[in-house]
Amino acid sequence: MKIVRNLYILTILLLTMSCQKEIDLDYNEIDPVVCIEGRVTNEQMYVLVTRSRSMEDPVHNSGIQGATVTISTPDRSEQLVYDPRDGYYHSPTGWKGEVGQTYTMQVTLNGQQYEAVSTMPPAAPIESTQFVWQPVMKNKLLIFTVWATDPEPDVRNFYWYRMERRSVNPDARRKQGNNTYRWNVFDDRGSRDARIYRDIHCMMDTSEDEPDEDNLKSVLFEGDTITFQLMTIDRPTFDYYQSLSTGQRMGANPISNIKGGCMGYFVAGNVTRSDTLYYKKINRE
Amino acid sequence: MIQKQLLLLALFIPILAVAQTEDVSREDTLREVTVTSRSAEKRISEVQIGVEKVEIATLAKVPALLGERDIVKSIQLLPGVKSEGEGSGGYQVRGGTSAQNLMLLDGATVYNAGHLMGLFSAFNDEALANASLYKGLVPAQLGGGTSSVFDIDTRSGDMQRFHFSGTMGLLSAKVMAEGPLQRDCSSFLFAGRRSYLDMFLKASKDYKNNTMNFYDMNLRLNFRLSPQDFLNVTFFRGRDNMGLDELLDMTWGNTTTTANWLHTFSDKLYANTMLAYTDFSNDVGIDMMNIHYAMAGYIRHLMLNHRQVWTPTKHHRVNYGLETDYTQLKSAEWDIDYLHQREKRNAWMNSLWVNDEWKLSSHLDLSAGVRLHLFTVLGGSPYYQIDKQGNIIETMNPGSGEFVKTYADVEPRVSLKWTLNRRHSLKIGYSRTSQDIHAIRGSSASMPFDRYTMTSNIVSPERADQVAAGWTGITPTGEYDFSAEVYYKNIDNVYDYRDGKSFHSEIEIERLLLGGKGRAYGFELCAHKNEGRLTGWLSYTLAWSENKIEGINGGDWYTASNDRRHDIALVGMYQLTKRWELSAVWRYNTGQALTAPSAKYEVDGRTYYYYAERNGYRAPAYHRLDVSATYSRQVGKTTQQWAFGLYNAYNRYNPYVITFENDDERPSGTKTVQTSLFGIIPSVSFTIRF
Repeated sequence: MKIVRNLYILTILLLTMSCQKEIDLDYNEIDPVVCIEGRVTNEQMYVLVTRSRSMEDPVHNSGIQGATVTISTPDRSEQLVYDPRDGYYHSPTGWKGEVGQTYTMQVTLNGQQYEAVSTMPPAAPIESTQFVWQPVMKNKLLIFTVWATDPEPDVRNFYWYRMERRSVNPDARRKQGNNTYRWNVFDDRGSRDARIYRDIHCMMDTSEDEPDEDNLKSVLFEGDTITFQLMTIDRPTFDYYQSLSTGQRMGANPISNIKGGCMGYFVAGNVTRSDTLYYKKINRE
Repeated sequence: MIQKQLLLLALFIPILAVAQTEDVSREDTLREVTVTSRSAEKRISEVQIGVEKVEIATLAKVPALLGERDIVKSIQLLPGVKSEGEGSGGYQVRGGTSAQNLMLLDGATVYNAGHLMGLFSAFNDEALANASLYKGLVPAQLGGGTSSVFDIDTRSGDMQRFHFSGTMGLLSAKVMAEGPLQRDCSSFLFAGRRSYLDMFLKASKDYKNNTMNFYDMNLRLNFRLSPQDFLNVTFFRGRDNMGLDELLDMTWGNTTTTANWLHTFSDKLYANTMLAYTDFSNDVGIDMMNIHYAMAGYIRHLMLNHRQVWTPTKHHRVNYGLETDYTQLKSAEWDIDYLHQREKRNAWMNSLWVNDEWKLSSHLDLSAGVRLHLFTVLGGSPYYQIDKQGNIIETMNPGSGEFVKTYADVEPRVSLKWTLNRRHSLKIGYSRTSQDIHAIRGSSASMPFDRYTMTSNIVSPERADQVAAGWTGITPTGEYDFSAEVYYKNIDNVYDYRDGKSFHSEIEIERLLLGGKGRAYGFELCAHKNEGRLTGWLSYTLAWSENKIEGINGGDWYTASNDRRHDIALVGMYQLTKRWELSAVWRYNTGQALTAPSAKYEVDGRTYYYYAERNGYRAPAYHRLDVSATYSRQVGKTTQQWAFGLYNAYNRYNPYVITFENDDERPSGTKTVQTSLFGIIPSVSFTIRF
């Protein structure tokens, strides 16, 4: 019986041991594709124009100078100015977005025109944030829970969030590079009492106990700085981000709300931020 | 360990009306025993083109993962049939997808018949009698699958003697009992199987709150009511349950029951009347922190089928009949926190057919027929008008039972055999088929939690036209036989998710869909060795498969995800001694079509990939050897059998998923990573029969 049991356990182990290895793939070379990120928020207004890079190019492209970038409403229009320090186009007057206003972005680059429209929804003020350990079988998963106010309880609203962490651990900082710690989009179907929430999965307890090269991107270290922003967005922007997320897995490009044939998005979004946190190990019980 | 279990679970999660055939009635009366050489003759004499008879006796000898003999995996060794991917229960026939296959068990439709997300089929080989796979070219009495019809019959119990068997494998145990209820008048057959993975989980302190089990059971009762009347009643239930503490709970499976009455009027006329009920359901619940999510769906059929087979002369054999089917389909019912939504619809399907097997001359045989298929969308739930972006522009609420729309399809079926001489024949055929149950898949592999929908006022029936031509030949002694077929297939109204949409984006499934078309063509070769100590076959498929869907690839034709050029399967069974039998299967296929990026760009500081072309790359080739050895001995009145197996004997890590990881720290910039599901896996099982 013991032999059968051992053979059984061996078989289950073999069954559950998937294997990963690096392979060579000869990537096709294509002409660079234009990517535009345009944001009008209650805090600022900017547009970044970049080009794609080869699959085997490790160097990020910086913002392209020389485009004509205009943001307009029915009542006002402004040409954004390129700032060589960060490679972005900014409003020279510090123009900021307003709730309910519809904004049009027009970008002209090498004779090609790109145009998008977006309307700014009302804000969803963040009410609270909290780290909680959730039991998962014999382990625990660290979850960052955010509660916010539903700006329009009877309407299906759309949200984008970004959780950033600045790690005290240099290896974690190197591993993370410019990447966002966590981001996603969601809608508020099923919310109640004019409140919305989001549970953000951070790390397993085993990762915290034994950080290694594979999990460094996830592991939070005592003293890490955590910032969180929540932005209400319109449906086309939600569709863009959701298709960006699912498309990466399915081999499809996202559905951009920009007309003219480029990658990227244009959003008029309303941002609220949580207080800055410093991660502190908490009792797992 | 937990991560591996979660990984396995994660891999699982993205991966989940009809006439009786002639064989059923024959099986009732003649108790057909499969004999290899006769099977070869059957293959050669078959008028219908594009049909494969699956021999259950052979199936028992083919090596299988964990020793679980699997009829669905074994048909993937036939020409023109491909596996959907490692660990998947789906199969693809002649360039179609697994969603386009109709699977019948004793005439009742079965959906997603796989245990453990498709690792094993839900059909217990102990209960099976025979099976036929129609690769898109079908006689008029069958309908409902645009790619294939897989018609499986369970075995009748012995009317004279009792038999029992029990098998212990690494994953599951199964039992079978059969015998007379009243000698020579009635019999029963029961077969059951259950996994016992959860027994080991229960014994573990850490995993005792987890559930992972499956079971299936078949029951068949046969009654000889009079010399002219036979009745059989069958029941099948297959179920999977998976649970992770109180966080996750999943269950899915099929229940079918049929009653089939065969009445012989005369030597020239008999009738078959069948009542069948099918219930496929799935249910998933997640309860974690603030997340409360539940989703369920089902497909239910209540079907009545009556057909008659009339042989007016020795040159004609006419099969005609009608079928009516009331279908209920719940594409989803979910609770997302405090939101409750449901989409459930009803339909009424009716079919009439006539098919004549006409012996035109000593050299020419014709099987020709037509099937009239009517699909009526019934009221009682909302229907919509939807714009190009998927937004609802009008909602209609027709009353319960009200006819919303009726589709009528006339489906001609023809197959002609020209017998050149006793050993060689040529065949040519054409079929039009349609399908009204549409599985919408979020991944390339079929999953038990795929959302289904029916033809509606917006969704049209899927229609396929296939032409095929072939040759069959057999050596004078019957030791070898050969076949070759070419085919071309067109298919319309194939539905898929719009880019960026997934199953839970909206409850109204039509808002998530885009329709398109497909085409496939190819060439199949097969050579069987039927006699001697070494038997087996070699099959080869050369195939192309393409799709055209508005919004993808600029609206032009593009290589389908399931396109792969060459498939080879080599199956050998060797009787080493009276007690030892060895078998091996080697399969090889060139790389599956793969969509890989051609550039990368940054959004919000994060790197993303740009896909210039759909399925423009190829994954590495797949090959695998499975071997098994079976030791059988007679001890008194019992037969004991030990079966030892090695799946993936040379431990080849085959591509399962290929991912791309940006790595700016290395000069190459991108890491391409292949994940393989299984390495070498041993198995052992013990069977006792008496």
